[in-house]
Amino acid sequence: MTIKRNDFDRVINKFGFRTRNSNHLHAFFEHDGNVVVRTKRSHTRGDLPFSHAIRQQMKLSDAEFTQAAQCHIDRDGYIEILRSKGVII
Amino acid sequence: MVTKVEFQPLRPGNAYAPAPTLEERGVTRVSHRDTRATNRLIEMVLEEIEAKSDAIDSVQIGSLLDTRLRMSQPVTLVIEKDEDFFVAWHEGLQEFGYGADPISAVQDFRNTMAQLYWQLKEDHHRLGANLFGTWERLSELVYEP
Repeated sequence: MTIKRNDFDRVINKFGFRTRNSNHLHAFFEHDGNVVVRTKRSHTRGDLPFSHAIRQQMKLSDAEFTQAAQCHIDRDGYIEILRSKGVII
Repeated sequence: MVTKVEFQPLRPGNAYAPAPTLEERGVTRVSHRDTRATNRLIEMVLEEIEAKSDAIDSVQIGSLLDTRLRMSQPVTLVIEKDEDFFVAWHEGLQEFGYGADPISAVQDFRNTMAQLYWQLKEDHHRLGANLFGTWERLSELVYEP
């Protein structure tokens, strides 16, 4: 399932990713002072190419990303997901 | 005049098996005067090109789009087509570049890899285990001369 640019922006804003703009929008998720996840999106409109790689970088399944885009997962929920997957110890 | 034509692989040395000959496809002879056979031959070539343009391929890169950085060894990128884009993907780094064509995708990756190097270098003292692993792999591939 492809990710729409607006959904990507909504999710990284809700989760509190730090962003940096260059040829792409780069996003970094920090927890307890450590950078634990990074991802990026293009500046193209509409569906983002290679969406499964974006989800892979964010450590989210298809269903989890959909839930996040629908505002069913907040920052704490995301931290729990990362903890359950061993990204955050 | 009768001409024997044989399909050649689109790119010599790539991962594809050699394309079947016309005989193997049931076409043994093509005459310049035989319009229908010629048209069919053109259709077959176009179908083959279209099929291969969607196939997975790979390319090696040995430099980045940043004159401050060098690569200690080449890396292999997988090239995929994703709807309107081509994507250059590196599994080990979990990084990708994309563009309207394969060359643009590879160039985007070369740029992205350099940006990733600088970003992780800046934060290397406070990277989580997962990103620290990425930094270690990247440090083996990229150095500052």
